[in-house]
Amino acid sequence: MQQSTDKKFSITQFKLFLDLLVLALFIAVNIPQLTGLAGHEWVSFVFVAPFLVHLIMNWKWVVNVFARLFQKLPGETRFNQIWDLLLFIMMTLVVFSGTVVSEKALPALGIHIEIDPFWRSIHTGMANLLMLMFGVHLTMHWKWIVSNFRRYVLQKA
Amino acid sequence: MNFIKDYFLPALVFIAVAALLIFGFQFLAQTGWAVGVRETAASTPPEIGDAPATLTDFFASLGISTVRMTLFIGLPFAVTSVVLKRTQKS
Repeated sequence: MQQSTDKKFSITQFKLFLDLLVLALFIAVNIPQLTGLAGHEWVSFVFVAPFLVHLIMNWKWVVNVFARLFQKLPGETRFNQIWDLLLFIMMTLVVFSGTVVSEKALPALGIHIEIDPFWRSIHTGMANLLMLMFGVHLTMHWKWIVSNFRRYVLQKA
Repeated sequence: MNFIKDYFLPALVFIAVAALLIFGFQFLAQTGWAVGVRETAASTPPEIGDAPATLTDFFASLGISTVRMTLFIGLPFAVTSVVLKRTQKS
């Protein structure tokens, strides 16, 4: 039996596929004109799980970088630190506000919440801003995505 | 690999921070600023309706979605790429 390392499903490989899933779901969530409101809400609920796993998988980076909060850091790392923190705040608020203004998914599960227009406004405004921020986040990690995509997807094909 | 330390604890931390943020915004929702936001939002019709039912509607929605994606994700992506390349060169 051949014991090869490339057959082993590495953490990096898992992170790559997870990130691609997060990217695909993020795009699916942000095309509500195509999916309709019900589709948008259900895909959003599905999105939360891989998003949380994405955060957990990068926990070590979070701890490393935030342990050096007041120390000198390379510019790019400092930018990522602040940007990712803002992104996390935005994502939390968008997910929460989206949940409490749910018109299709939550009622389908038997949960009825009186919709507050305040949260709808927060949801719409922040979701648009979140997309802009996501584009920047994607660029900051693009090299990692491309190099690992070449390594694990293109070279294996 | 310690499952609790590596995965469970981080998840709890993220959820706790998220809960704190939500609590903060729940507080903001009671302020005078929220009253103004609520009034404006109540008079604005919802942006999203049902999924397109006809092929024409589908292509129209596809067009809108493509433009939105290009502007909201593609544009910041491209701008950041250029800035990043320039900063890495210098």
